[in-house]
Amino acid sequence: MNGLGLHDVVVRYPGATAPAVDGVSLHVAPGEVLALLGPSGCGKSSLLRAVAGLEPLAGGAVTWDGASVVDVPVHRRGFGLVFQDGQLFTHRDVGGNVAYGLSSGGLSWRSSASGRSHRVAELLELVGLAGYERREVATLSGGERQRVALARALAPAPRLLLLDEPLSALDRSLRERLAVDLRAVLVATGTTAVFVTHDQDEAFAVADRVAVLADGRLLQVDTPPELWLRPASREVARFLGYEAFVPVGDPAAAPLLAATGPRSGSVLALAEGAFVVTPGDTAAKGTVLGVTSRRGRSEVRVDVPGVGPVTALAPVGARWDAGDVVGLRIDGSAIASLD
Amino acid sequence: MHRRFMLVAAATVAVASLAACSSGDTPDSPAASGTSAAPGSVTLVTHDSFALSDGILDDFTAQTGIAVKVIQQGDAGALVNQLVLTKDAPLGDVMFGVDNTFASRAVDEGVVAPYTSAAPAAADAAKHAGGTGLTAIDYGDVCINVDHAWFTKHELAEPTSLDDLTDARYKNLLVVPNAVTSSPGFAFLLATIGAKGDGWQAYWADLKKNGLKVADGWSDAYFTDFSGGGGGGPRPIVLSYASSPPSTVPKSGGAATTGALLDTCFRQTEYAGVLTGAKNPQGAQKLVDFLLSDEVQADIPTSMYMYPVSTAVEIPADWQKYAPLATTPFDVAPDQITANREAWLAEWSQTVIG
Amino acid sequence: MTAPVLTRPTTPLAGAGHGRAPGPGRTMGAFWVLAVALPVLFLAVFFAWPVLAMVGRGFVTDGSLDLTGFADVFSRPRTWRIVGLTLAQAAIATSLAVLLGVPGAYVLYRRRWRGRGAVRALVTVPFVLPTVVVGVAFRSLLVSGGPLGFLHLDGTFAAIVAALVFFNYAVVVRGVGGMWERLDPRASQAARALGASPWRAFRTVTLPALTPAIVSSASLSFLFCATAFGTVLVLGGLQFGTVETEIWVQTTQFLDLRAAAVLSVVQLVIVAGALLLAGRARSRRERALALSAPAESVRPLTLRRAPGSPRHDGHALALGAAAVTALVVLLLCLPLVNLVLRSLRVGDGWGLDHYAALGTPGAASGVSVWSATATSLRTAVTATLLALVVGGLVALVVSRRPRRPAGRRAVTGLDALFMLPLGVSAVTVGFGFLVSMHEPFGLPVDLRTSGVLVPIAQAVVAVPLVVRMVLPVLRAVDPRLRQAAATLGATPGRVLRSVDLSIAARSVGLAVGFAFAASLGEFGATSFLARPDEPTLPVLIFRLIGRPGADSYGTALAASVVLAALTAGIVAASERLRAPGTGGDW
Repeated sequence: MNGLGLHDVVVRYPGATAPAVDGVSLHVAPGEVLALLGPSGCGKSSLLRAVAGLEPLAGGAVTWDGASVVDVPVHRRGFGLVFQDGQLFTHRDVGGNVAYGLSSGGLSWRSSASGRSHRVAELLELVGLAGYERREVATLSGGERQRVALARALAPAPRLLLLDEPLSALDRSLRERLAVDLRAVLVATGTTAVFVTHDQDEAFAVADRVAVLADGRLLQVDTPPELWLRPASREVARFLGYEAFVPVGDPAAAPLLAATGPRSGSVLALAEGAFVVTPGDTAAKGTVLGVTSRRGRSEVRVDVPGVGPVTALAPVGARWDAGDVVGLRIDGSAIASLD
Repeated sequence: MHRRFMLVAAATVAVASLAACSSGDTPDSPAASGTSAAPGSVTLVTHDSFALSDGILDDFTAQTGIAVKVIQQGDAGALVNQLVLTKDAPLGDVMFGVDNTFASRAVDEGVVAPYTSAAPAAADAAKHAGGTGLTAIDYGDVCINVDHAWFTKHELAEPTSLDDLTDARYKNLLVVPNAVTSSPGFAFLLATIGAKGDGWQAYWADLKKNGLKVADGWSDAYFTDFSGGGGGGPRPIVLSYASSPPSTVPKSGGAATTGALLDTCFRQTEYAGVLTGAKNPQGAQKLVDFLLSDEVQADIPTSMYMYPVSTAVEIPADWQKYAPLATTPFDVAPDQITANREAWLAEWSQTVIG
Repeated sequence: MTAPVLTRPTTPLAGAGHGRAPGPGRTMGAFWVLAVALPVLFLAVFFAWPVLAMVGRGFVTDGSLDLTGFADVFSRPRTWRIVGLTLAQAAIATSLAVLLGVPGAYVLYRRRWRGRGAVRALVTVPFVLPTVVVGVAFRSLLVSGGPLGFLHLDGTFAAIVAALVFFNYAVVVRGVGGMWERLDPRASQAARALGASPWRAFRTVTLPALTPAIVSSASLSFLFCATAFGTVLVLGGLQFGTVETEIWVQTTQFLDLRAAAVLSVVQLVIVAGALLLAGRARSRRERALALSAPAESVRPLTLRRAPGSPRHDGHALALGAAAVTALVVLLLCLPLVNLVLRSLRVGDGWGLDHYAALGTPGAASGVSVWSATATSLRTAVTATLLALVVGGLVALVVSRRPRRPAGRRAVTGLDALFMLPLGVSAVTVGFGFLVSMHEPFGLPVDLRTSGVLVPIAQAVVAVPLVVRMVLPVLRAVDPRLRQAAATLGATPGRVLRSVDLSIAARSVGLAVGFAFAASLGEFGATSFLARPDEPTLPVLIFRLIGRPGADSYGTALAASVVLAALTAGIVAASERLRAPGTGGDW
C-alpha cells in the first residue's frame, strides 16, 4: 500500500486515564490531502504528532509505502510539519528559515549554495512572498509567518506534509483566503498532506478527504461531498453543522421528504439553511427567535414545530422581530439522511 | 545644593533603616551610633586569632565599668595595614596582635600613641620591647615540627637543625607555609635569614632541591600536608609553632606525637598599644594593663597558644613538657624587617616559587 | 477602550499628560526615577565610593596626582605573567563550566526524575562553601597519598581550573536551566521535522535560543574566576597568582597601594572588557523567546528508550547528557564527601564528637557554631532583602527598551555597572570601606565598626546575581503581554505589577535562593571588613581552622558540613517555593 498507513494507532500520555488516540486506522494515498477534523481535545493533534514521530506510539503502527516508520526518528521520516503558530526560528531571517531543511541530504538543489538560494526563492514565490529572503521574521504579519512556515516545510520536498491547525491563529478572511492558497500550493507541488483542523469549512476547502475524530476514535472518512451528504452518525452530522434531526416517520418529516425525494435512512439531518424564509410559502411555518447577519444575508433562528430551533436563511435586508410567524421554503440539498 | 541635600538625606534614611535591621550588637555597646567615646566603652581592634576564654573580658567590665567591643579583621599583616590606613580615624581605641615582624611599620606610621604600662607584669613585657607605644603581651616560637610516629615507623633519625633539612635523607618530607601569604611562613624565612645571613637564598635553593613543598597557609600545611596534624597528610616535617605539640597529646594519654626542633626557631612577639586618636585613651590604657594581668596572662597559652610575657603566671603542665621554648631563637631586627620585607619576599618568591 | 487615549493633545491637561490621565503618569515617572536612582545611589555609596577612595590613595602622593605607578608596574614582567594567568584561568574554567553545565542544565531542568530536586540543591553547595574549606576538601583529595593523589594534580594549574569549575558549575547550570525549562519545545521539533538530527536541532535552534542565558552565566562565571582569590592561593599558591591575589599581597602584606591601585585598574579593564563582549553577544541574541510552561516542556528522564519511540531520536543525546552530568555530580561529591568523612574523624576512629562540640562556645571567638549560624542567617536575610530590592529594580529598568539610542545605551551601561562588584577585588572594596566609611557625608556614624556594612557588602555581591537571574526572564517577556494588559485598561503601574512583576516573581525563588546562599557563604569582602563581636559562620570556620589542635580542625569541618547542608536546604526550599508559580499561564 503506497502512501501513509495508520494501523490501530494508540497514543497514551503518562498519567492520563483514557488514551488520547484510541485505535485509529487510516490510509492516505500519494498526492492526497487528508483533513483530520474534530473538536478540540479529540486527539487529532496527538495523532499528527505521533505520525511525525514526536509522540511515542503506545500501540499500532505507522507505515509509509507499506514499511513501518515506528523505528525511524523524526528527522529521517521525511515528514514535514507546520505548527499552528509557525514556530519560525527568530534568530534566522526568512531565507534562513526556508533554507533550514535544505542543508542535509543529496538532492541537486541541496548540494550547492546557489542551488539552495534558488530553491528558497522558488518556494517564497510559490507562497506569494517573492523577495522576502532577507526580512527578519519579527517584522512579518501572522499570515506571512504561516506562508514562510509552509515554504520552509515544503522546501526539502517532504514525502508527507503534516499541518497542525496552520490557519487557526489567523483572522477569518485571511484564513479563508489562505485555505484556498494552501490547497493550490499542495496540489501544485503534488504534496501528500495530513491537515488538522477544527473548522469543517477549512477542511472541506483544503482536503481531498476528511477524517472525523472524536474522543480519540475515528468516526468517518470520506470525500467532502460524501461526508456532507451521508454523515455516518448523528455525532458526525452534528459536528459538520447539522443542527436538527427528524425521524423519517415523524409527521414533521413529511414536508422535508417532499423536498428531498425519497431517502434510504431512518433519520433526516438538517443543516443550516435547510429552511429559507419565504413570505407566502407554506411548506412549513416557524416562529422567529432572533435574527443575525452574515455577509449581508440575514440568518433567522426559527422554531419549527416538530423540528425544533433551526437556522433559516433570509433575503438581504429582510427584517423580523422575535415572535413573528414566518413561512418557510425547504432546500433539499441541505438535508442529509442518516441510518 | 538642593540635590546634595537629597543625597545626604537618602543616605541617612538608608543607613538608619539598615542600622535598625541589624541586631548584631550587644546592647551595652552603642555600636550603631558609633560613639565609642561614650564613657564606659572601649573598642579593641585585633586579628582573627585573638581569643580569650569565656567571661574574661566581662571581668574587665566588672572591674572597671568599661565595656569591651572586639573588632577582628584578617591576619596580622592585614591588621597592621588597616591600622595604618585608618590612622586618621581609628577603628577603635586599642589594638592587639601586631607582631615584631610588623612592629616597626606600626611605629613608623604613628599608629600607636606612647604609653608605658604600670602593671606588675610590665617589667617582664619590657624585656620584649618592640618600639614606642608597643607593649609586649605574649610571644612564641615558630619552629619546624616533626611527626615522631612517622620517623619511628620509617626507622629514620629525626632532623634537628636547619642544615639537616637539606640532607637527602629528608628529601620530599618538608612542608612550609608560603612566606608571602602566611605570617608563620614569613617568620621561618626570617629564621633562615637570621641563621644564614646573606646565604639564605642558597639555603632555600637547597631546600627546594630537596623537595620542599610550599602550602598556602599554616592550616593548609599543618592539616593537609603534615602527617601528624590529624589530617593524615604525607609529609612528616612541617613549619609550625613550638606550642603545637601539646595539642597532639592523645586523648587516651601518653606523650605528644609531634615535637618542635628548637634549633630552627624564630621568636614572634605580639604587642598591644593604644591607638593614636583613640576616643577613650584612658579606657584603652586600662585594657592594655588588663592584658598584662595574671588573669589574661594565665589564659593565653590555652586560648591563643602563645607564651605569656609575665613570669608570674603558671605555664600549663603539658606545655612545660611538650612546648619548651627555644633557648637561642634566630633573630632579625624589626627595622631591618620593615626595610627589607618586600625585597626579601620578592627574592624568596623568585627562588622558591619561580 | 477609553476615549482619552485617542484625544489629540489640544487641551493643556491632555498636553501635560501626553494624553494619559496625569495622575498615574506622574506616579510612574516618579517610580522610574526612583527605580534608577535608588540602585545607583546604593552602588555609588557602597561600592564606587569606597573603591575610588582606595584606588585614589594609590594615585595621589602628597596631594598631587601621580600616575608613575603604571609605568613601574607594567615594566615588571611579573605583571604581564599574572594578567596572562588570570585570563587563562578564567577563560579555561569558564569554557569548561559551560561545556559541562549545559548538559547539566538539560538533565536537571529539562528532564524530570526522582531525586532531581536534591541533586539541584547539591550542585549549588560548592558555590557557597568558604574557599578555605574547599581548599581543605580539595587539597586533601589531591595531596600525594590522598584518594586522588595518583593524579599528581596537587599544586598544578589543572587543580586550580578544576576547583574553579567546581565553584562555577552551579552558576551555569542554574542560569541556563532556568531559561531552558521554559523554552517552547516546538521550535526544535519544527527543526526535527525539517530533517535536522537531534544534535543539529539542538545546535541550530535550541542553542541559539539559550545563548543569552549561556552568555549571562558565562560572564558571571568569568568574573568569579577572574577574581578568585582563596581558591587560587590554597591550590596553586603564588605560582599561579592572579591579579586578585597580587592585589591582596600588595595591599595586605606590602602596603604598596600604588601597585595595588594600578592592578585594580587592570582588573577593572579586564572585567569591563569581558562585560562588553558579553553584552554584545547577548544583545545580538536576546529577543522575545517563545516560552512555555515547564509542565509542557519537561519530560521524564528514563535510561531505556520510551516504548514506541524510535532509535536515533535523541535518546542517546539525553543519555550522554545524563552520563556527563552524573560524572560531574560524582566529581562534585568527592570533595564534599571527603569533607563529611573528615568531619567524622575523631583521633584514629570515627564519631560525632565534632558535631557535639558545635553547641559549645569555642575558645576561638567565644561563640558557638550554632550562634554563628544564627548570626549568618540574620545577616543573609538582610542582605538578600537588600539585594532583591536593588537587583529587582535594576533588572526591571534594564529590561526596558527605550526608543532613543541614548536611552538604550544608558540601560546597557546600567546593566554592566551592576556587574562590576563581582569583578572588583574584595580587598580593594574591603579596605575601601575602611578608608571611606568613617562618618560618611559628615554623619556622626562610624559605619566601619557598626556591623551594618556586613549585610551591605554581601548585598553588593548578591545584586549582580539577582539581576542575572531575573533579567533574562523579564527580557523574554513578550512585549505584547504588556500591550494586552494596557488595552485591558491596566494603568502602567498595574501593567508593571500584573505582568512584569508577576512573571519575574517566578524567577525570584531562584534569585532568592542564590542570593541567600551567596550571602551565607560570602567571605571575601566581609573578611576584610571591620566586624563586630559576632562572627558569621564562614568567618568562624576560618578562625577555627587557623587554630592548632585536631579538635578545632574537626569542629571547623563539622561547621563546614553544617554550612553546606544549610545551603543545600535553602536552595531546595527556594526551588519548592518557585514550583507552584511556574505552571500555567505563560
